[in-house]
Formats: sequence, C-alpha cells, structure tokens
Amino acid sequence: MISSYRTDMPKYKRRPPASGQGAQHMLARLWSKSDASTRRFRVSSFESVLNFGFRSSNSPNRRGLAIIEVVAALSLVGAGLLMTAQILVACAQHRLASDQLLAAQLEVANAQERIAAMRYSDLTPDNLERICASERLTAGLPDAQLHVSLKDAPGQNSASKSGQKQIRAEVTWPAEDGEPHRVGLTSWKFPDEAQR
Amino acid sequence: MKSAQSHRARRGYTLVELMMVIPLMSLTIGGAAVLLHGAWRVEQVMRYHDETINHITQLADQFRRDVHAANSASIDKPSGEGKLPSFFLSLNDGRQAQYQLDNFFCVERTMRRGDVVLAHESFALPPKSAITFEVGRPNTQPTLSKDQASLIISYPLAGGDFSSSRELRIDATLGTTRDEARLQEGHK
Repeated sequence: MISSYRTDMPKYKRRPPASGQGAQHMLARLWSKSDASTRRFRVSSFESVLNFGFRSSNSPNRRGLAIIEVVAALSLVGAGLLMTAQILVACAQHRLASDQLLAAQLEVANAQERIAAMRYSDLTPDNLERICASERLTAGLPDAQLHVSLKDAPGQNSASKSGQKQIRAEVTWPAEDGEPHRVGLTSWKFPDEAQR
Repeated sequence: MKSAQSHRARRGYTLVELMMVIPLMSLTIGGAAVLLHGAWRVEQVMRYHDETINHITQLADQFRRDVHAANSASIDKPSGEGKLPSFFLSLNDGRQAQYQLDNFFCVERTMRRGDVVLAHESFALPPKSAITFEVGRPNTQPTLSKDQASLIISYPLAGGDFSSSRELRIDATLGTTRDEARLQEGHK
C-alpha cells in the first residue's frame, strides 16, 4: 500500500502529517526531510505498523468499517457489559448474604438471651426444644432452622463439677453450593448457690 | 490521469459517514457513562449497606451491654403527634442510659448521671426506620425468671414504603451482669 503526498494538489488540501510521539513523530521528520520538489515519499511501512496491518485510514479505497474492527469494538463493549453485570450480581449476592447473616446472628443471640433468663432447673432438653425460630427469621430466611442443644459434661474438669450446663444455639439455612450456612453461639449456665 | 486520481483521492468524511459515526460514538460514550454511573451507584449502595449493618451490630452490642448492666428499665411514651418514645435504663452508681430515635433516623444513646452527660453516641439506621421498645417478661413456656428488654427496628426495603419491610429484634435480659458478679463472689 502506497500513499503519496504531492505538491500538485491545491495548496489548501496540503496537509502535513501530524507531529507527535513515536511513529507519528518519525513521519513528521520524514516529511521535513523529503524531496521538496515532489514532496513524495512512501509511508506504507510506518502506516502498516501503526494500523497493525489493516488498511490505512488515509487510503482512498476505505469505505465504512472492516468486519474485524466491528467485532473488536462489539467485543470490548460486550466485555464491559458482562463485567458490569457480574459486579451487579456479586453485589446483590453479598448484600443478601450479609442481611441473612445479620438476621441469623440476632436470632441466635436472642435465643441465648432467653436461655439466660430461664432458671437453671428449667434448662432441660425438652424445654430447650421448645425454642424455635421466630417469624422474623423465617420471613427473611424461609428454610432456616434454630436448634438449641444442651450438653452436660459432668466430671470432665473442675468447672463441670460445679454443675455447669453447656447450651449451644445454632441457626442453619441451606446454601446454593450444598453446604448449609451455620451461625452458632455457646453459653454456659451455672446453678445458683441455693441450687447447689 | 494522475491528476484525476488525485482529485478523486479521499480527503475527510462524507456527511453520511459523519451522521453514522457521531450517533454511534454518542451511544458508545453514553453507554460507558451509564456503566460507570451504575458501578459508582452500586459502590455507594454497598458501602451504605455495610455501614448500616455495622451500625445495627454495634447498636445491638451496646444495647445488650446496657440492659445486662441495668437494674430496671422503663419506657417513656410522650403523648402528642410526632413525639418519639424514649427508653431508660437505670444502672449502678446513679447512671442512666437513654435510647431514642431522632429525626434523622439515628438511635441516640445518652449516658447521664443526674444532669451531667457522660457519653453520647449515635447509631445510624436505614432511612424511614422506626423503632419500638418492649420491657417485661414474655409469655413463654417455661416462664422466664428475669425481665427482658427488646429493641425492634423496622425499616422499608428498596421500595421505600413499608409494603415490604424488614424487622430486626434485639432482645436482652435485665441484670445478668449483677448475677454474674454475685456468682463470682460466691465462688470466692
């Protein structure tokens, strides 16, 4: 591909190549050093470097856009859209997950507060099984389950000799990846002096 | 012949090309601007949401600490339009903690001893939030041996009205800190 600049063109149509950095700057220097009588030189090698082998924008045969240019532009726009959509989805999932986590944490803490308000003698497996998930939790997490378990550990260590009861409250709800989410809190209840 | 070719040499763009390119460039730039604005909005919403969750968690922790340390609790419901209820906790050493929702949807916690303000904190809630307080012994089986105080936060979801709202409940048992201290003294 050969492009020419000629002095037989009308003066107002003469346009020196734009000066700038890199290859454009070299073109400008070539323009100044070229033959003043004809002002003709070949820039095909520089233009092919600049255009990565595609047709030059100065070519008189250029009409419209090459298919590869359209594909490249659409690919860039599509990649941008896809990344934005992924960000939106990830943010929505993060927001939902943090809402669910907060609701589960409050539910577990409320269950432990209720256990703290119960008498030591009332802490039996039957009574603890009555503690179930509140309507607020099931409204936000429809498949969530609250499970409160009692664990007596007599004689294992010095602390257990005092008759402590270990109570664990746990909220579980199913996750998309199969492994259920769990939020749990464990507390220990000691008998009053009168009950020892 | 050469002269004719040179006159036919393409210089500049036709009007049709410009009319095609300028709207396409406008569309591309507009699309990029919309994408950037959307990403910026998402970042803002996510940061605000995280801050809200953080504030609610801190409020729950502080409320529970105060209720655990309190000897008694009361609710002041002033009569009149637009007046918001206050929740009072009587602590040791003559201190009193007050919880109240202000007009900017922030829960204000004020710790006083007499007329002297010892501490003041503010916990931001989502816009259009409403809070209610409850004190007493819930009717559960088995019956509870201590009173409980509850702070219930209601706030609308994305729509802005309460047709779809979320409700968070923070329960706390009164006087557990005092009981723990008594238990520790018994062990000594």
